[in-house]
Amino acid sequence: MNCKHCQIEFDALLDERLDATAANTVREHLASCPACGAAWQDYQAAWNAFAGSPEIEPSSNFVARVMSTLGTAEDAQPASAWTLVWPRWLRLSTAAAATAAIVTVASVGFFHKELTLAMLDQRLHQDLLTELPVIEHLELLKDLDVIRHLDQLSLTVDMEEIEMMLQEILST
Amino acid sequence: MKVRRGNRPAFETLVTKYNRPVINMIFHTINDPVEAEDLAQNVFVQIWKTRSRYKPTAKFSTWLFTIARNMCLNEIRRRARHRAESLDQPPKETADGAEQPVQVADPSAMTADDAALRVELYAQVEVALRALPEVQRTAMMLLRHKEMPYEDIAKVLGCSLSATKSIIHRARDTLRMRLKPYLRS
Repeated sequence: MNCKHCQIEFDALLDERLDATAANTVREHLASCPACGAAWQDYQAAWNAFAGSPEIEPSSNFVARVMSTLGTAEDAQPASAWTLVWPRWLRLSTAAAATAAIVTVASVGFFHKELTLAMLDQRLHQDLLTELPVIEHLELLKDLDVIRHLDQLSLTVDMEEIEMMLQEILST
Repeated sequence: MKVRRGNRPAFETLVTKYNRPVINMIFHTINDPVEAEDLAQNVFVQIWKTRSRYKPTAKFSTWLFTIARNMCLNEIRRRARHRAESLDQPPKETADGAEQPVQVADPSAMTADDAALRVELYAQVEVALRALPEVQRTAMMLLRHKEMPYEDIAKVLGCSLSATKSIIHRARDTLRMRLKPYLRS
């Protein structure tokens, strides 16, 4: 085993992801190579310092507070089915609300770049303008790739999947 | 599954088990223990409200930390947008005026010098951790207690397994470089 391969295995060794044979091979190299041995000591020590550092202790009534909030959470019913679909972190600026409503709703089954309010059902339009959570980054709607992915969404897709999908899109 | 059916005692068990790692994960992002608890509370309430959408194919911890991470990211964006609060501001006090305590190592088992060095080291760990990019910091927090395998961490981060390994390695290497002077002393 050379030094480069040995140091590649530092994480696996630290997290006990190596089988016994592989771990022994790494340890033998660490014992015989001063440079890798020193690097391993630093790597391990830094990790141990982090893993052993103090953590925040939750307040003694945290669990009770959470449980007492659940009743309130269950009583709050969404005003519209649309609020169940969209993530709360999506925010829409007032000036661009109509544009976003057009693009996002019409993107379900549509691939047109330019749409008009006339294509929306009047009730949906009102729901979106009054109850749709706002989109923080309006420029997302200018990205056709985002819009193309939005058309895959449906009312049955859960909030978490929507968030993860959009974050994955934005991270690429 | 019990939680999915609305079993509150079962949910309370989950909250008791996971509240500390969730609060700590959020705290290391926003540097405010009081607000970290508030956000953590929101995480668990969100879990409860959307429990019917939980799919047993994924581990509960993966789902939980994914939502917790999203809440952190939303908070980062919110603060960056409003610039009302800095992530570097000192911790707020609790409602009764007492500052939220931060657990520190028990100095009674060390000499005075060792205790001082240990406190300094932990302070530098905090600085180094906060300086990491969010994805690396989150990976470190998820890996901390070695209860979450790489595969599950990858799901929380929304990355491939190989990308997650790379993230973990970069994070640890950065910690090593930043902490080296304090470890040697």
